[in-house]
Amino acid sequence: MTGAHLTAFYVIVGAYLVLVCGIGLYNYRRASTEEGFLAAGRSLGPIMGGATLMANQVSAGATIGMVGFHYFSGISYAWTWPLVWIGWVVAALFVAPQIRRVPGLTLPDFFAARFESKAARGIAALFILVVYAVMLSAQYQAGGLLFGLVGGMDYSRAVMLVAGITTAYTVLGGMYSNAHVGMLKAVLLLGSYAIAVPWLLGHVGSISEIGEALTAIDPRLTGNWFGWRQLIAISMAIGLGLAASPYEISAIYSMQSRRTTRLAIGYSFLFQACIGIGVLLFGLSMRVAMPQLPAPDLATPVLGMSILPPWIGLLVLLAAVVTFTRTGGAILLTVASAVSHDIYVELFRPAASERAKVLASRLAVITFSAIPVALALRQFDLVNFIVIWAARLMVSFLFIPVVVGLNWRRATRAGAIASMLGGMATCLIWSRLGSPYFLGLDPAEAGVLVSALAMFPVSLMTRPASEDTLRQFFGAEPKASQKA
Amino acid sequence: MPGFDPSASPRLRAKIFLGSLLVAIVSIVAARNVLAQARPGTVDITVTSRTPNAVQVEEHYVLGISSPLELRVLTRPCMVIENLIIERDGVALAVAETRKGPWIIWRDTTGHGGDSLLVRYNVWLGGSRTIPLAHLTAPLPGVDSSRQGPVTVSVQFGRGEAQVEFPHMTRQAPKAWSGRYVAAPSFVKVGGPAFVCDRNPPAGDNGGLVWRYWLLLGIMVVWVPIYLSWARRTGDRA
Repeated sequence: MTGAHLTAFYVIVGAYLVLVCGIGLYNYRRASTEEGFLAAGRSLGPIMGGATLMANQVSAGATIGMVGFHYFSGISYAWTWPLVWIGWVVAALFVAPQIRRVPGLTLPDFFAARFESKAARGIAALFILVVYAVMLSAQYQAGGLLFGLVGGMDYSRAVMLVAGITTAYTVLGGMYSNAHVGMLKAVLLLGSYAIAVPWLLGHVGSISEIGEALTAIDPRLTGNWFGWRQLIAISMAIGLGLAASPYEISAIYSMQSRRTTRLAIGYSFLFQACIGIGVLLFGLSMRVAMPQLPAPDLATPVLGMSILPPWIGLLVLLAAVVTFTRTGGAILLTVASAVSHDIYVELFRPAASERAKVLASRLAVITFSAIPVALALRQFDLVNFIVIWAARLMVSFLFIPVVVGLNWRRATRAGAIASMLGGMATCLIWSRLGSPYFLGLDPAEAGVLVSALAMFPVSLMTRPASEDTLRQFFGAEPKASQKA
Repeated sequence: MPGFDPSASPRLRAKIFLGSLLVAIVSIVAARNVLAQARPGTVDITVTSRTPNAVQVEEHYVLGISSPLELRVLTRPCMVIENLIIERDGVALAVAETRKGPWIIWRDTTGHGGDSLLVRYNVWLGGSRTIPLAHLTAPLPGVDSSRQGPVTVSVQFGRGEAQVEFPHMTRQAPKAWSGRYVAAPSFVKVGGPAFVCDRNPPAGDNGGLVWRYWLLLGIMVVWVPIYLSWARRTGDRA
């Protein structure tokens, strides 16, 4: 990309920066309370909520990483979309309505309230810090690759630029900004894909022609590169991880009501379906149009920079920029809440003023945004592999304590802590032991299994939560005659 | 040399100095270009369109590998590729040609090594506006993801107005287009009227991509309204 095309890219990215900072400033005053900053004043409706949920999930892992995955492995990975949606249905049935019964702002709030435990809150907050640093590094890495290739920028500078953009609007507007930029992201992604995909197919060929070309390169590209066993394991890690994911739970806390949350999940399916099909066709078409890219993660940047006509290409590139900065913002906000709300306020300074809480949140955003930069500069793996690895840890650590804690009265503090630590340790050990399936189990499956095995017996052996707490989450206990 | 003559006039000395400077700059630029061309992993592709239906493709590679080569080219119905010449370090290579789906594969049978590779062939487009570009089936060493990609594609048009539609290229002159890429594109599509090919090729094997694609789309299309109608029916109860 050179000359006018490159200038246009910088102008359009600059305009986006001005816009998101404008959104941040617009929301600055509204985000002056902790509930405003971390949960958008619980004001999100179904469409804005759907865009927020989608914008959290569709990260650089999708617009850069998944295009790259389809480029090198073909169609089979696309089955993870409907499989991941099963996780969303679990969230709609067993997480979202239950968690809204008790006011809270963050996932560790839930742990503290349900299990009456500061330790559970602290462990959850620390875990979020570590895993989200990894997740955020994937967003920065994708941004670095894109700016490096398209803008001819040095990779490390590009990573820092992406970190700067993400931090700026998150500091200014918190969850309000995230929701508005999420909507912008949905519009940009859907709009640019709606223009780019038909153009690309019109030039590369029909689905059938693309299939013939890909089958001749490698039959697995049009069949099953990933077997069902792998797809189910990956989808379980991502889907069930999302059901208990801290940033999706923060988004659920930000919505107007339980019904709004369920509808928002439906609208997010609609957005995801369009994006999933677009991402798939981008990857497959690029493999036919340019079969020997030096790295699969370059498929989207090269598509926008060298294949599509300039203005369509710029839209696709901008959509990718918005994707990783927006998801980065959601992650930063979750981490900031873990540091400021769950550690600083709840564990050390419960009497802090509203102003001090918001200031702590903003400082946490700035401080934490630097850590993943160091990880992104190392470029450990393909973007999507990093996202999958973080999802495995998340589901192993959080899924059982959150879902069982919300739906089983007998779950206890000791059971939850054993479940969290056991699940995470197992996932880490399994990842080291062998690939892909030590003893026939994926690390996420092993993690969830051990997490469940720890939760149930330990809970049954220990004292349940107080009646007051149980009444808050489950209502009054049915009497013996009603049970009969 | 006059440049060292202390009796030369100041104007002459300035001219000589500026002349030397100009020569030095030109030499440095030329040397950089030569070095860039010689860098392993670079590819220069020139497409010359003689008539709207006949083109010549010439590709120059600086390989940086010594192993036997395999090239692949994407064909279309009614398209004919002829007069193929493949030379490695100036020695003509004998290649075995096989067809795999819409691709033609040329495999070097001589095992002759060398850093430079020339591939030249003529294409009878048969009414199509798509010009196939041969590319190696394995990535070249030394290729990185720098913005100044190692692959240059130039298209020269002969008679008639024409433009390049795919991939994105910039117009260098009224009838010359070029673009620089991270990897070689498998084809170039040019504007202008396309003719319908009257030869119906046998349906190829798409590996089940078509039914898999429509099944995936169908699941998504059905899932969203079913879920939304359920979500609308639920109240604000838990």
